[in-house]
Amino acid sequence: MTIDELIDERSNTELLDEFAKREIRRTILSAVAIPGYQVPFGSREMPVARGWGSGGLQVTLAAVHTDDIVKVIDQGDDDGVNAVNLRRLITTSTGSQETSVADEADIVQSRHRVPEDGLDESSILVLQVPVPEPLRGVERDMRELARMHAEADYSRMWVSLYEDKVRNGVITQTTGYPCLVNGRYVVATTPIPRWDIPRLHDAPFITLFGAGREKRIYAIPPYTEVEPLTFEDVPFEVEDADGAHCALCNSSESFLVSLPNSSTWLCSDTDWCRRNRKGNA
Amino acid sequence: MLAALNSQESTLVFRTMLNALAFPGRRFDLPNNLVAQMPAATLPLLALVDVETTFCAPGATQWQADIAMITSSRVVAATDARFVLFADLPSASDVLHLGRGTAHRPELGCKVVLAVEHLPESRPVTDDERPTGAGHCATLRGPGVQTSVVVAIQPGVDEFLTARATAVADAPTGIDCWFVANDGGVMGLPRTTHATFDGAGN
Amino acid sequence: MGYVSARGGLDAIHAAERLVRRLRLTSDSNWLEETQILDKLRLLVDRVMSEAGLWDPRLAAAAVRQSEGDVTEAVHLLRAYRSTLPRFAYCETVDADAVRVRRRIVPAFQRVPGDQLLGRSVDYTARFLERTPDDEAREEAEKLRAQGNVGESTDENLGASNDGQTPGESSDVRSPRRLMELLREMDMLVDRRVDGDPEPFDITRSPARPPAPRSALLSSMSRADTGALVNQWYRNILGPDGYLHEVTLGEVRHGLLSVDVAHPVTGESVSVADVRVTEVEAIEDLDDIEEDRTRFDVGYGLCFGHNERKAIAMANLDIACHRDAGRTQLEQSLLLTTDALDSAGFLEHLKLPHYVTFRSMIERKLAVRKASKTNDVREAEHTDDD
Repeated sequence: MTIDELIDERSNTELLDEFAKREIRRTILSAVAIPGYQVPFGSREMPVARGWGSGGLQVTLAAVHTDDIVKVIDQGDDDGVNAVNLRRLITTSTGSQETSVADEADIVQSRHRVPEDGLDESSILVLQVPVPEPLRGVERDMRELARMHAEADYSRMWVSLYEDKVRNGVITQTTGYPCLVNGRYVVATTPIPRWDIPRLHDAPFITLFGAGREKRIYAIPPYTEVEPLTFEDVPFEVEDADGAHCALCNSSESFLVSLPNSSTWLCSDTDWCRRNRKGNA
Repeated sequence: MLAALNSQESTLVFRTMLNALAFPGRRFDLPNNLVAQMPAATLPLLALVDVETTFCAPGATQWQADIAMITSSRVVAATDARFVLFADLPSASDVLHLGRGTAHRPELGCKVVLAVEHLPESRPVTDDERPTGAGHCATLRGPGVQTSVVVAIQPGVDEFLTARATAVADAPTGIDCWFVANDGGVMGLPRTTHATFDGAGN
Repeated sequence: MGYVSARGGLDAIHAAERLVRRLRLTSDSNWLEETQILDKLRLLVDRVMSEAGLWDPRLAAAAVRQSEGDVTEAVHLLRAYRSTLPRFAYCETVDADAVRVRRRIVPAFQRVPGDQLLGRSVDYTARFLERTPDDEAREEAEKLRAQGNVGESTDENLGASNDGQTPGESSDVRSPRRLMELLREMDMLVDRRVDGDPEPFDITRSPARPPAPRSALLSSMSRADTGALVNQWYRNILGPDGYLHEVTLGEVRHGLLSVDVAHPVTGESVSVADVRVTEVEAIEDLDDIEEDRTRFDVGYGLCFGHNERKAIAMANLDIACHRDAGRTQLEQSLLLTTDALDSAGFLEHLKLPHYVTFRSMIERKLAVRKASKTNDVREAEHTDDD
């Protein structure tokens, strides 16, 4: 490559230079080889702000090729403004195509949901990570956090969950439930609902986690054990909707969100809902 | 003739390496057009390394010089290199001297590309099947392997696997390997894959 | 059905982009040129470059204009632009002693070799807001121009001039010996110089976390948010976080530094840029049990452009961090909470939809209530049994 080719601004629609992509790819390979371990990387600044998906975006940009089909969702919704923004950045800068159907997508980039269906061995799920550190609530000092992961010393986490249960009668973790991956590392699953946690376990697809602001990438390979941290006599609970159904497609088998002060519930996964209405889910 | 890979080519090679690592024991193929142009085993490093990392190709001085020139990646001793390309199967000692990372920095473990003539034959088995068949076999288990995979291994590969077992015994440190065959087939073995030998009482 | 999330799709985004751009470009006042921003808002441009970690005054001026004066937004534009550019060379080590000063003060001494040079600074100007009507101010500007009292040109701000010498001044004044050297000769400094030439930590390629080498700390602070560093200093001086000493300043300098690379063909050193930097040495009075209380130590600050409060805060925090030696989380605060984009981005991400989490939170609250009701019922039953 000549210097002219390297810096030709007129033809450069890419958001990341080639060397940045290579570094991210090496990081992704390390992450897949060490399930649940947060691999540090340089993390370039993107056209979206830190905290808005810059890490997920970097992972997708490093992995996607021009023949890929990409789905991007936020809270399960393809049409949310942030998802739309990220998707158009990806497709216009790489020439890839877009879809809202998970089954058609090679790469699904998502903020805070796992699609209800459609992910198989050919899929790559990229989750946007606001905070990659699952132990943040029990320890502030980063040197100590590094030691805890290096030595698999998660005792403070267990104590905190126990105290939670004793104080509140239930474990009050909402989304982003901490899980043990491949029996070794506790991970921050990102604010996906507990509803989605079981689908990370022994999954046919690769899950990549991109934390741009904190500059970490981690991964759950396919067919890997993902166990939510809980106690033998305290079964893991997904969100209870008390028998509610989606007002649009009538489903009670998908993750539902509600209107404020209302008994109207809707599927969070809007494309699943649309297909369910058509009978294709 | 080795040549630089462009953006799309690098991406496609990366995806093959990613799939191979994510699904150990399964065959994936490097892009045909690239395999036709240059030795398949050189493609992973041409796609992945650059000035900000280190590599080595012991016993393959021409490959090493070409890859260094094309990618500007830095050549260092195999024990220090983040990527090592073996043109021939390494000895046990070679394998044991590769970097494995540390408990704090497991990602520093070496990524190893092994050039082979043919990929080991492999097939998935259910847990209660006993691997049969002529020749030497290893059963693979771990992340990415749905139940188990049996690989029929060629002579020399079993020594490699034995040495590898030592190198990956102390999780999360270890080495991550890919076999790359002349025809462009790739098979991955991340450090998390347990390989037990046929008749070793699995 | 009533429920619509922040729905808008591509049309909304395009409409918002068009609106922002149209209002910016077509506002009633005259066209704002990049050179005007460089000329008349030079300190804003300098601050943006120092927080982007990128020296290019023209690009920084363009970013300031596009961001309509939002510093963090302008920094984001520059850094994202930088991400699209490959790095294809490393510069040679720059010796800070080679700086050609335009301003240089040494508070630690009344007189110093090489002189105190007040230079262009508002420090001792009276802070009166000028209310001269514009036409009068313009007349005055014309008169000054006619008299030949031209101020520093835009070129000088870019740093692409001669070496800044004014006639009659010796070059000693422009590259004075730094105070630290003199203090060393007086044997008043502890010596922290290391042998060899350790490779500096590259924070753009590896994320620094404690414990990190000093070069990681210095480069992080060099491109930190100015307000964040000032705040870190202030809260550590007066509490609540700690009790740093106020240092005595040695050097406070603003000047030009040449950045050289090796020519790819000839191998000779070639200057590719003259950057302006602010540089500070902070002299720390050592008084702890384990320290050499008969000597001083020095902290260092350096950043792009003319930004004294940042460089002073940086120098003070550099020596504070060294003396802290990992006892507190000061290093972590400096490395991880002072970047403008990380902090502002994460703060503002709260505006993104969070309804999946919120729904899960409501569900847990109901679960807690249910669990406590069950407890109440159990306790009541238990009491009844008595």
